[in-house]
Order: sequence, then C-alpha cells, then structure tokens
Amino acid sequence: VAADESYPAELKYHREHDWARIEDGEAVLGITWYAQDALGELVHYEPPDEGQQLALGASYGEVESVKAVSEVIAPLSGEVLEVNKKVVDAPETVNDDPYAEGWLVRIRLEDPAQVEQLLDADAYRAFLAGQ
Amino acid sequence: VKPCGLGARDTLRLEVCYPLHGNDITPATDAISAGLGWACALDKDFTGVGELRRIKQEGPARRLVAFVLEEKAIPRQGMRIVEGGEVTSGTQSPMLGVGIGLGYVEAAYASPDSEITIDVRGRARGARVVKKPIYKREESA
Repeated sequence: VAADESYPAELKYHREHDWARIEDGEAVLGITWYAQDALGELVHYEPPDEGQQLALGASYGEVESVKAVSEVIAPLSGEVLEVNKKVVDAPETVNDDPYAEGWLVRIRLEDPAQVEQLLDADAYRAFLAGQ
Repeated sequence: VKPCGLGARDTLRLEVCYPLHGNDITPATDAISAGLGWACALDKDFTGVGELRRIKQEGPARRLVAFVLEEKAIPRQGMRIVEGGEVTSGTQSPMLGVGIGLGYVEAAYASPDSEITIDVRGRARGARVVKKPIYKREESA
C-alpha cells in the first residue's frame, strides 16, 4: 500500500529529493515521498558499503523500479554506519513508508554545519511547487 | 479490464522470451543467431538467404540467449556481458522476483546453465543462461 503524500516537519530536505533525520552527530537518510512516487514501485536498492564515506551532493547508491534506475544523492557528508537491510530485501518498503521503515542509511556526520544548508519541510514543499 | 502500459507488456514478453525488434533483433542481427531459424524457409529463395544459409551451416558466432541473474541486480539494454556479448533486453521479473534478460553471447556460452557475468554499471553480477522461455505459467489442472 503506497503511503500518502507527506513531508514531516522534523526532517531536513535536499533538492535531490532526499531527507535527513538528524540525531546526535548522526543522520538517518532516505528519499522523499515525491521521489518514490516519481519512480514507482521499487524493486532494487543498491546500497553503499558500511564504512563508506558519503560526500554531500554525490551519489551513494541506486534505487530501481521496473522501468527506471535513479542514483541516490547524499544530502550530507559522512561515514556509513548502517545500511537498512530491510530495504535491500524488500525495496517496496520505501513506497510503503518512506520516512520510517524505508530509511536507506545511517551516517556519522562529517560536518554538522552542513545541516544548515538543507531545506525545512515548508521550503521543500515550496521547491516542489516550483518544479 | 485494467490499464496496461508498455512497462507491463515488456516484462510479460521478456518472461516468455519474445524478442523485441529494435532491442533483440535489429538490422545488424540475423535470424539464425537470434534463434528464429524456424521461421526461415532456407530451401526457398529470398533476399539474404545465402548469408542465412552460410551462418546456419557454419554455426553462429554469437547467439541470443535468455538468462537469469543469480545476484541481486537488474540487467538493462546495452550492458556488457563480460565473457563477450551484450544485454539486449532486461528487467526485473514480477513472477520470479529476480533480474532477467536476453542478450547475445559467444556460442561457447550459449547452452543452458552457462555462467555469465553482467557489467551492471561497473559491478560484476553473475547470471545463468536458461532455456527459453524464462517463465511459463503452470497449466491449471
């Protein structure tokens, strides 16, 4: 069952349609409702390796639907602490629950100041409205 | 009746291994290598019959085969087959839940159970050549 459109206020957003949940020098990352809706049902998630270094603005993984492949862009820099194995095994989890069960990676932030460059939910919605 | 788009039709035709013109058969491929010799009356005269007779007699250098990924990955048109060859169609099979495809491989790798390797955007992913069709619905009793 696909989730209803939402952009939780407690998350930060990147224009490449990623979200970040900041927790104590770490961040959990995923793709937004808009991104999963544009792709359709996900059938494959190619995750980064644990320990891999993500760079703000660079691709760190891939998500694929039957028709399309999309790179996942890192909204923040940092080291991968954990990959969501549930999404590796059942990629459609992202469609069902993009902001909770469907997270993609957890990272240790390299530069917490980068968080200030991200959009809040209202700014991301305004960005989507202008697309 | 439900709407059905090209994506749905493409997965259906790939599971049963119907070649798609423009992907699996093109002006640069030939009917024998594509496994379509059954549709060619080589005892009759038509444009190109000499070349088809030659390929049939010598055996094609490459053959269009069906394959199933043995690792998590989705093959796509244009991906390189490391042992020699190229993916001409690929998708995720909704019925099998794995990546499937058609592609041309060297004749030495064309028999069922041959192990081949697909270059998925720089990552090597193992696949196995299978007998066509890749998927056939069980006949109901």
